[in-house]
Amino acid sequence: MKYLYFIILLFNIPGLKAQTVTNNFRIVDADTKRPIPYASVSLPRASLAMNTEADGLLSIPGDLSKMNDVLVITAQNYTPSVSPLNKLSGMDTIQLKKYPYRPVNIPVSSTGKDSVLNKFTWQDVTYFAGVHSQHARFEYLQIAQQFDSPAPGAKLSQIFFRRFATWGTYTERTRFRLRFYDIDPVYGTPGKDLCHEIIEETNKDDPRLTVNLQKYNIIIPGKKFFVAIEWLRTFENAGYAPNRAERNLVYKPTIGILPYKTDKLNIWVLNYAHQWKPFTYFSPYYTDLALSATVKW
Amino acid sequence: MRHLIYCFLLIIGPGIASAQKIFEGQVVDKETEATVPGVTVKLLKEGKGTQTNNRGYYKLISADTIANDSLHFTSIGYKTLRVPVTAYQQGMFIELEASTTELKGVTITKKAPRKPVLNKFSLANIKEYRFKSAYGKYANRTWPFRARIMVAMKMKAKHKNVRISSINIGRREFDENYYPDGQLALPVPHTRFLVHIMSRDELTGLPDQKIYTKDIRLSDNSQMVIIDVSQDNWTVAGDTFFVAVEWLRIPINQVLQLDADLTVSKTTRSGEQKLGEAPTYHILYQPAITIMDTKVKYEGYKMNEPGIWQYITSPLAISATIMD
Repeated sequence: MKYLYFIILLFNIPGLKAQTVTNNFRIVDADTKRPIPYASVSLPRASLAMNTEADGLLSIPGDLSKMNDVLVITAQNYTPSVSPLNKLSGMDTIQLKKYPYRPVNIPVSSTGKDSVLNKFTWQDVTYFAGVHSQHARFEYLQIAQQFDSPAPGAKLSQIFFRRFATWGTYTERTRFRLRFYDIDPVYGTPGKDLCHEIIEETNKDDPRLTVNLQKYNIIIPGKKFFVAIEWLRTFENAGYAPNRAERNLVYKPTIGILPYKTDKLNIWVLNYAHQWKPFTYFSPYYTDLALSATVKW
Repeated sequence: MRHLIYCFLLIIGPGIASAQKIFEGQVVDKETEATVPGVTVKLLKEGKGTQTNNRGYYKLISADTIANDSLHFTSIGYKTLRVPVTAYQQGMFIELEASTTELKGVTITKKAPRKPVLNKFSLANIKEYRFKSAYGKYANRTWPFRARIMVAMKMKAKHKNVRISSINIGRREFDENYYPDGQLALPVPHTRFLVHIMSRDELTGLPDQKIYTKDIRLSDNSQMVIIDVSQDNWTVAGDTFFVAVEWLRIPINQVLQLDADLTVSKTTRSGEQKLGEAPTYHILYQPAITIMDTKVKYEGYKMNEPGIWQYITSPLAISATIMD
């Protein structure tokens, strides 16, 4: 059995200095009561985020009744849970409700054409997102590229992206998830999931990754959609920036930024409060991720 | 055991790709060492070609390099040069020899009048040498230099009222810990920095006031950067001044560097610690200025903390060309 500890909470939340209690929770499906693997757990005020492991267990040391932060738990296909920490005292289970997935009900475009959106030359990619810099901490759960599809009803068949990877004795072994979103009609941010299946990829040391998506039958209802990388904030993915310290944890993979400028910023990031925001770090110079999508339409 | 890997972004791909190869570098006049724009560069058998930009820089991405192919460099006024791809080295300078044309007994040669250069350096001083060392397969005689804020090199002319026509800077990549597998790293091509002309404090001898400033933006990996200020009327009253480079710690200048080491990857509930390799990412900022391969003494100062100048002994490739 594996346990996840929020040890770094000790440095951030008042009331934990003299902690003697460890609060253990199991994050489960409200209907089946089975654990939800790799649920995303974050504390926005403390700027902390992690994923549970496969057993859905979460341990928080300290007196929860004295803590002022909120605990945000999200998982694909589940309604996010937002709970004040001081309301969790005495509990041992956090249930997430599954939301019903409704497949896109739109005629599939079938002109027989393929288009590669946001096509790029991978050798040109020299900037990467995913690490803290001198001026800005990188505290995001997902990073997404916005695409303009050539027609409604197009089918997403493949994505390709560039990441930071090395050769030599050290390999950038990583595991991450892919998410696909429709556009939110009100805010223009990533909205509803376009795929209910969990797509998890692992990679050893390739700087270029191609993921074939044919079998998932991802249909894009409108002309705008998003492809996101979801970091699994686990021990195996952890690294440091700029120095080795708990506060400087970052997670693999880093994602390439295109060294080109377009007329609009197409990169979005999901913060610890589970809000999508434009990723302005490289503005006004660069506007897109090194992530292309192939659609059949 | 500690594994230390320094890795820079631009070369990661080429190091892994099978047949893809990037050919890039600068073309210079063999005699004057001035960069030559507009040179046609072509991979003869593959048929790919490009032209050098205004800094004499070219970049060709070969999709599938043919082993016995060669790079051809052609330009009006110069003899065509052929470099077999097997002889190509990353970032090498291509030196073109001026051609001589005879017209009815008149000999025309391409020769520009020379101007005095302060802290002069040549291509030989800044180019990356590869030689076998006792520690690895290759090593370098030139090194990268960077300061947190600024570096200033002292220039002394033979007369007062000096008018500056250009500033030359030698750049190179950040391969501070040279990885002995043979492939060199290159800087991120998009670079922005400031060049200042600074007065000298008469009491301390240190750089004092900024007299002139120019915002420099580069979009290639050229190692010889010639900044033309002949139209800017940069005139210094005395005979001594400083040429300074100021770093801008902005995202466009970022170079990611990786240091992988053993670390505690997991602590179990029973307190058992498991070790694994974890990366530590560092961000360096462009540009890297070349510490030259020379025994000539130069006087320079670096500023790593605001307002505090420190003497440096490194001969940095920063020169000023002045009007005679």
